[in-house]
Amino acid sequence: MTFALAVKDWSSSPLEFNAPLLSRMGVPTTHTAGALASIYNENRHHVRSNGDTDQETNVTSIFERQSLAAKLYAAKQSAKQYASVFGSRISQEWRKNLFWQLDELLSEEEWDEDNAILDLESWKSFLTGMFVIRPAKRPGIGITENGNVVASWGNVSEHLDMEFRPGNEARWVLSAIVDAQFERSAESGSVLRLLERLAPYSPERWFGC
Amino acid sequence: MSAEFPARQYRFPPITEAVVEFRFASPISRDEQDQISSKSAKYYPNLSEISNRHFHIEVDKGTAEVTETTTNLRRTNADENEIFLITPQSFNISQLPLYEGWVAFRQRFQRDWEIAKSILGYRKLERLGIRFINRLDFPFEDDLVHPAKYLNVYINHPTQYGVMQSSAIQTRYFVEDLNANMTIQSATVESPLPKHLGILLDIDIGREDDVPQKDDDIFTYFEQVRLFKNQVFEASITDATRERFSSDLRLGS
Amino acid sequence: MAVKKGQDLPETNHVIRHVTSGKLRRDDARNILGVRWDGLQPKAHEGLSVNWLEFHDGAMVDKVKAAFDLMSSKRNFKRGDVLAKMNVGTTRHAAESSGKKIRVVYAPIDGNHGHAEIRNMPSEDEGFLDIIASTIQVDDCISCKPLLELKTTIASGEDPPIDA
Repeated sequence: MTFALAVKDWSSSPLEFNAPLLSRMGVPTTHTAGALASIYNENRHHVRSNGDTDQETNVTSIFERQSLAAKLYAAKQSAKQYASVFGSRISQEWRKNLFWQLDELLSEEEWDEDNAILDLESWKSFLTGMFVIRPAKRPGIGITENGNVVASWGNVSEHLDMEFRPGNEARWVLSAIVDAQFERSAESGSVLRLLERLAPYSPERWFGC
Repeated sequence: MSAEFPARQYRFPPITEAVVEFRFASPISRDEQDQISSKSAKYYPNLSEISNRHFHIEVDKGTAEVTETTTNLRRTNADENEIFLITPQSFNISQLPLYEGWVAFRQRFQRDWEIAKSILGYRKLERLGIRFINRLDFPFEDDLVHPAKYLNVYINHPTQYGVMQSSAIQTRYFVEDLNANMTIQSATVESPLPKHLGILLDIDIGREDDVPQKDDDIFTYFEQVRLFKNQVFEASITDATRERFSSDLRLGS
Repeated sequence: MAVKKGQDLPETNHVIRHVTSGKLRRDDARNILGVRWDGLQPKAHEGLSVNWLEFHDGAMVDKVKAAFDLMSSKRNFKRGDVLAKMNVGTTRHAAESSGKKIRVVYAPIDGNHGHAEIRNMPSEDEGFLDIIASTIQVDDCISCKPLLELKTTIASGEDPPIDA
């Protein structure tokens, strides 16, 4: 028994799974160029330049051998590509600003080598969180030591720092003046319930809406 | 079809990827790929090289050998939403969001076609393809999304089956006016929006027969395809979906 | 005033903490708004590493430059990082108002004799660390960029720029 296997490492449209079926029907398709590719987090075969094919468990080891510049570039690329999943729901101004902040945050000149590279799953949680909150005011973006995105609003006395974790989880620290009293809180919970959890602190003070 | 489904402009179209493909009858060389890639670098500064290995595996003997190695050159802009993919057989120009309208997209792929032609000269085209992949996101209502409310392309099934968990449809047509084949695919997908379901509406129109070879004919053909594709899109969705385009969840204005 | 190793620093004195760029609270234009709680997070069971400013002589600006030079032998600074200046007394009182007793002690190490530590800072209490971070005003965040440029200028043998 013989079979031929063509292995690619770039993903294409989610409907590309139909391509083999269409081929058997003798139907050519217009090949997409990779709307949802994620270099190091997708469950893909990766073909190295020397011709060896790695199963997905070895993708991490390839990634670890990349230079810092390559890792940072890959992280930026994946984050920007993922943002395209939201289509035109992210306005030009938001897109431009988020991508600029990403470029600055993940620049080799600024990068702390002790930091883990940006976790794509955290970035996904962050974008989901933004669509839950839909703030009028864009956050400043930072990163924790383990590569999680942090969104910040406010100033020294009244602020909200929100760390986004994989799987739509978040942890936040806030300080606010509520009824003339300083309130501080450090909590965690689901990204999907952020507005309910923040409601007692009148979050419009940070989000502008 | 045009009278029944007039063209509309949407400020926020649900396009997740628009692709134009020029496929050649015979392969282009690696050197030609490299030249096209270099010449387009100022528009697409980021380059990835992707090797494709074809293996012949003799399972009974337990042996394998590489039968073919080809390379795709994938160029992107800084924002990673404009892609120029150069393969030995074709080149594909993709636009990811934000899709800034047909005119801007056409200008881009026409420019890239000129770049390729400046290197290749005349090469016989075997296929011209346009593909628009839309993702429509619908909110759950009591944990359900009713496709019939939003789409005219959906699976109709007996209620005895119960609640559908997922679906995928694929239909194929011959479009006489364009002398082209159209493949419509639609499938449920995870939506990135909270408490929403995504439904892909993928319209792929490709011509393999009597393919235009001259520039004027090629781009006239693309304009015709685009108009037809718009009508197909309008025919596929309901007014309930159209209303959502202006009221949908959005970041920024 | 002489302080021995392991002794508490005077309340009127200051320490500086190296905070990396990613741990700063910024707005969407990347202006610094303050230090995030994780910018002051010590490793588990360790003190928070800082440098004592009054270890050095001169005006505050000279103390900062001297401390930066000492710290540079042990740490890798980037242009986007800051030195967060903290008043010893303010920091201690902020901790006490939250029911915790911290110490700011002189703790010289090889290659950095100006090193100090803030001890008893809980590494997993974000709320407490945020209170301490909130004592650091925006003006207390000293950009590392000019300090790095000054080091480069001196290393290249050029005359350093005159402070305006």
